[in-house]
Amino acid sequence: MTAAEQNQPPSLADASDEELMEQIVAGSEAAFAQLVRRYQGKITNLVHRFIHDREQAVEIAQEVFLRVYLHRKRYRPSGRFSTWIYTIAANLAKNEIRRRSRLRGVTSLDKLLEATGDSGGFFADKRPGPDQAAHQHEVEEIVMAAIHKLPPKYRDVILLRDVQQLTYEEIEQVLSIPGGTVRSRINRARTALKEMLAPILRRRTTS
Amino acid sequence: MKCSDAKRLCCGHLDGELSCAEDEALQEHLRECPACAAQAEQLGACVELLHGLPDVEPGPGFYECVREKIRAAEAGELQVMPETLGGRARVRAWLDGLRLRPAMAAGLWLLLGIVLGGGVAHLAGNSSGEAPATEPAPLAVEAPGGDDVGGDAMAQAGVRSPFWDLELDEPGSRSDTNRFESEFLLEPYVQDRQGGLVPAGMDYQRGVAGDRDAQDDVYPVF
Repeated sequence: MTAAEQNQPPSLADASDEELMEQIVAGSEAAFAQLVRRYQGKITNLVHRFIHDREQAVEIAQEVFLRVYLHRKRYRPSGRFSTWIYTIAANLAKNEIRRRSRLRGVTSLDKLLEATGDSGGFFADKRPGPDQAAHQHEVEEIVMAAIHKLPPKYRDVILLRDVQQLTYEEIEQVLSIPGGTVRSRINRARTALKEMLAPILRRRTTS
Repeated sequence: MKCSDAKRLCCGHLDGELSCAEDEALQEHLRECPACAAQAEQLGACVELLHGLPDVEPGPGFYECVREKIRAAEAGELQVMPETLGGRARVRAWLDGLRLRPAMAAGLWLLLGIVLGGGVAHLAGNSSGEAPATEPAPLAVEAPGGDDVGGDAMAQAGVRSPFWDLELDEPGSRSDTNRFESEFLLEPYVQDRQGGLVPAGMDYQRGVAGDRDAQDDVYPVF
């Protein structure tokens, strides 16, 4: 590699989030487009898991990027960009939950579990087929209903850790809670979920 | 290793957060204790289930929509609520609201006057001989390391909550969550540290006053 090549800035695809933010602050629209491409799926997914409404999740995810852009100068490069944007996304999603009197589209967990009965078995048939997608959807509905039955502080950690797969350290920063609290909340949330999902977990572990 | 320790370490094991020594001790316990091994297997299946949830894709045109919103916001056509802008911006927005709604502002000032007037009258009453009541000390505080100690303190104070009980139960002996719910509802009074009976809700609020984990816990458990 020549000296001239070494002095060139990294391409946008290779640039870190923090480098992209620097360029966005300096006025680069291409850097912003790259950042949106990089995070649009993760943010939409996170918000969707919080509010369980795909269309609204896309709207809120767009608002997250709007806020990132409008407040780009508030970003401090000393902190990780990912935790900053996840914090904005989680806060907006939680505000949306508060705004709604009740969650739309989340079916009662008891009704869903009752509908499975003893003869069904969500995981009995693992062959690809026309029913598999429907089974998967039913499982997703049950899991989401169980998550939303948790108290919010447990719901938040489980969504960030097990659905979004953030590290413990990232969760500490996103939720502004100490590491010990993150660990205990994850422990309790998983224990409670395990109890709620016991019928399908038993079936899954035995099949 | 005790079963309760194994239960505590299982999540760390699934997340790769344990030290080698802790992991080995846990594995040894799981080999010897079928009840814990079954619980650990179900916990692993639960996490696997969560990890397997399908991702939601935002669809085409996402970036263009964001750009359009930015344009509208910069042109003043789209109002961005200052929900995540911090306390100062919220206060500013609130004051703006007051300026825009004189009738509402007048009502609020009137209410404030009534409340303050009542407070002054109450203080005047107290100063004429009665000593003011002292606030009871909180029953639980958060550990310096951030450990979540509210559950133990609540358990000591006699407050029942399904979550704490889930934690405290031994494997195989865990009772139905509904039982704890109904017990909580059927026991409106709990014993505080001084041995007196106080309403469960009031003690709950007092007992966890110093616990960060419970400060926002205004939601019903299950």
